[in-house]
Amino acid sequence: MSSLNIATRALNTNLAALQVIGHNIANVNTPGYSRQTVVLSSAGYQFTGGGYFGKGVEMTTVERAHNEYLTREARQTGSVAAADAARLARLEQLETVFPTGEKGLGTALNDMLNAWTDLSSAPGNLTARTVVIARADEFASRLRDSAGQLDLMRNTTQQQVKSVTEDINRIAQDLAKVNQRIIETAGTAHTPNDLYDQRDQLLRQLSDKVQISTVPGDAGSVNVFVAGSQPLVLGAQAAKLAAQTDPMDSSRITINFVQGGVSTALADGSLGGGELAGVVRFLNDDLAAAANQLGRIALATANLVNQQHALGLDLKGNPGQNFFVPPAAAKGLASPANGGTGQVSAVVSDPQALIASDYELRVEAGGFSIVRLSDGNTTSVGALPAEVDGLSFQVDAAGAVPGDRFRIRPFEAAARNLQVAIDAPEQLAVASPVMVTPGTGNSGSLSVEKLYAVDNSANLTDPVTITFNADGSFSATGLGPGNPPPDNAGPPPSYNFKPGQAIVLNGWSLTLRGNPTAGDSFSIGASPSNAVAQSAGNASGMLALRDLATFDGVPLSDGYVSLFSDLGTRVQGAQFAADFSAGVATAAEQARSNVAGVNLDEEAARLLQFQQAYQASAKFLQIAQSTFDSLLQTVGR
Amino acid sequence: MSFRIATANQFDRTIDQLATRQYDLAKQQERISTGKRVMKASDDPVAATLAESARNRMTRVQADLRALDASRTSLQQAESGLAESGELIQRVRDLLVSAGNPSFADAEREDVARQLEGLREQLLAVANRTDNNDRTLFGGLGGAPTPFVDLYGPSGTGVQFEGQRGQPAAGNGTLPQSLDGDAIWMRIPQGNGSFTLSLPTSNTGGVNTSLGQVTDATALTGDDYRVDFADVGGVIQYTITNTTTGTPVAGHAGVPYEAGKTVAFDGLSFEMNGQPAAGDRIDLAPATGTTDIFSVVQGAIDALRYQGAGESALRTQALGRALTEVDAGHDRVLLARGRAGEWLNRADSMDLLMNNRSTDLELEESRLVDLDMVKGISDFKNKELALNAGLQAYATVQRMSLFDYIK
Repeated sequence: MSSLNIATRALNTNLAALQVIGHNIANVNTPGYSRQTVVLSSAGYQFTGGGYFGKGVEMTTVERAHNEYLTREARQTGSVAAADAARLARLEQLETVFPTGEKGLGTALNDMLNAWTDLSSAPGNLTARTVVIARADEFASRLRDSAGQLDLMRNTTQQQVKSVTEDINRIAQDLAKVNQRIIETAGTAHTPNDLYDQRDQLLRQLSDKVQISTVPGDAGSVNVFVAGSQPLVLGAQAAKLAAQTDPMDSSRITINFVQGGVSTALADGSLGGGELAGVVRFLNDDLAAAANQLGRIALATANLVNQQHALGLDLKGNPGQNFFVPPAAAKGLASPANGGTGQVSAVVSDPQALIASDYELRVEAGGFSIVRLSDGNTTSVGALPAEVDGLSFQVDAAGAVPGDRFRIRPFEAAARNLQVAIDAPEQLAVASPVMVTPGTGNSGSLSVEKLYAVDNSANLTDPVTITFNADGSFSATGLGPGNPPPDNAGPPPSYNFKPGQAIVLNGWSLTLRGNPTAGDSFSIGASPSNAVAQSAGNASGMLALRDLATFDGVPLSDGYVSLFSDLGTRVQGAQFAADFSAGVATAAEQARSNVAGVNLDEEAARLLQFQQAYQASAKFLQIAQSTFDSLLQTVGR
Repeated sequence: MSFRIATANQFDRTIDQLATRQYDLAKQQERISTGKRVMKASDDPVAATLAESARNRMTRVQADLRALDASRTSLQQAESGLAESGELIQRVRDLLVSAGNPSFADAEREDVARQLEGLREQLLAVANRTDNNDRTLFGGLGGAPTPFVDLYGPSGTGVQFEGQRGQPAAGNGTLPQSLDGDAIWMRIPQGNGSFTLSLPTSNTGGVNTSLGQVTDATALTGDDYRVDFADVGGVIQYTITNTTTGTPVAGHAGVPYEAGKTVAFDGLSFEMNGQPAAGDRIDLAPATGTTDIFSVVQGAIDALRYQGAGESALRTQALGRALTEVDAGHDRVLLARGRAGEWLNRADSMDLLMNNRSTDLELEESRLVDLDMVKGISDFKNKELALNAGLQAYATVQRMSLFDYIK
């Protein structure tokens, strides 16, 4: 009987092994599938007088090829790669908003400023005037268009964050269910391999969305933590993530961890990896930075052009009106936790000192502190209004109490709302309000290159006479307050003269060329009313804006360069990061898969191996049967 | 280290790699077809930044070139205006010379005066010319749209300069668009530049003088003088008095008059001609300022039309002075014309320089962002080869399976 037993058991076992191989072959392309093998063992022995006789083969269990460390590594590296890839994909999209060359904002900006060159040749030419307005309109509309595209990207990215969060919650639920089923199977000697595979696959999917850490739980379950220590899945219980718009800044999204009705805000940096981390970083860092830089270009350009335009005179001899619709003051958004009812805002006071950042104003016991959010730089002031980074922070309504916080985003709406205010060509203020008259006795070796107003000084049109001394320096009479002190004490007190370099006094800028002769004099004063048609002084002033150090020392005309070079560097950095992390993830996944995955050639070989074993077992059964049959025949006869 | 390979993973990786190669190839193809190596900033942020700056500078150079062209056109018009003005002044001079003809009768002089009036009008028209954009060519630093205004009023008649005195200077890349008309036509030295000699209309004799000259600039006093003629016993004597100090000039008191004689004192000298009558006078005054070409011509016209006892002497005196002043005016026009010509030359060289600069910038931009075609195509071939090899290897290796051998 034992032979028949041995044969039957061998047949069953080998068939089971073939079944497992078939299962492997069937799942060769199933993601997350770990190949399974049948663990065989000898079925023991029987002692007889003739010695120890083996009882054949026995199947211990079916186990899966699995290496916990490689799996975890593949998960972690995959998580980082998913974050980098998600951020890169969005950044590449963002980059298309800021093209270089003729389609770029830089060309529009330069075209707008360069158009004043033609006005300086022909101040009265209405066509040249119309071209200046058209170019400015083009610039403003391109800024608005870019801002609109950024808004669109912000919306889609916020949608993406929300849908990723929903994915995470769904996967967490699934994980909790799988955990439950695994717990239910506990107590048997065998492991439910396919359930484990399913869970590993869920963990893998989850870590592509957000970086997780896992800790083995009771009865084979696994506990999943996000953002370092928040328990997303505990056994059969799943918590939730929620994407919430920042109450103080609607463009930002904060991820909250929600458990039992209590929600905890997670810091952006704590998310680690996964698509969620990549997209949130894009939304809160990259997109915000690009939007602020775009806004800064709009705000600085609008303010500088408006300032210079107001210094000129239009064809009717009136001071220039606003060239662009003046950007509105940036209202501070009060924190929901504020105890007081105060309101604050910020307006541009120095367009050249602006830094592309949002600000937080905190009310303190003895004053205020203003925090630049891009780098955390804090300025404490005793009272408002106070000037920080070219912005004047002011109180609109009193009533703030210590501990109150306000978010101020000066650049947020600037590009979106930029509009040209001038509509008629004759309103362009091309003429200079000041005029220079050389003295009648001048030697003639020194002549005037240009004169224009640079500053809205109260003394701008005061009559001033500058007279050159024998040593080439000049003395000035009639100067108002606030001018730089003379370079030389004298007597007479005098300023050094550099031919071709602007002399800036009383709010005007005068450029003289040539060699001074003692006694040469120039009188500066208000421009006569009949001179506006011939004067193009303010056009020179506009053109000088091109070289004005505006964006962290970068000239206005190159302002766009710093925007897209910053963005290009970001994209390039993200590309490198994505390439690198994808390489690492691929290697880790390969290592994991090489252990756990199915190799068809191997399965084919095993197939043959167990087929032969099965056939041999069948043969053995036949032999056992035939020996038994012969015995029966012998006995029966 | 086990050497097993998971079949599915192997497929996945091969497919990924083929996709990457295909992407590379497509990207390279795009580069070749656009001719650009840097298509967006992230391709090469540094090159993109430098190229954008170069492009900004280039557009500025092109704007400056347009301004230069405008300046050149204006300067050319100003230059030709000056040439015309020079010719007009020359014609004035010819007329003044012919008007001195003693055989001319009043009618002929009136004819010359009329012609001079016409020339004066034309001179004024030239000086008020504007360029294509209605900017005054001779307005100096700006001022009124009509810089030269012929004014009649209680404070005096004559041409006033209502432009803005002063010559605009050439900048680093710019040229002035207008000339200082004030310096050209409105600042002609009076007389010989140091003092003037004039005859009062009360003179009845025929005395007149040369324009006079400075013989010793250090001895000049800058005082007013007068020469009085008196009949002393049938002999006409002259006496020179320094009217500023009220003292007679030593050696020139009561000296018998001799026509054609040069008197010299206090660093100056002049010649007296013609026959004075007793009571005639010559006034000598230091030049107080400058005159303008229009007043000079007007003075000559007035002198030609003057009718009176000593009209001949007065005319000779006035025409002589006008001639000198017209010559001085002509010199100033020539000077301005030379300057305009020099600027026009400079415009040519600046034009060349700026065009070169524009070309350089264009080259720089191209060097930064354009694709080196030879390298681009060779890269393309390489990538094509890599993709082909990948496909080949895929086809060969992935086809192999043990199942093919199990029969």
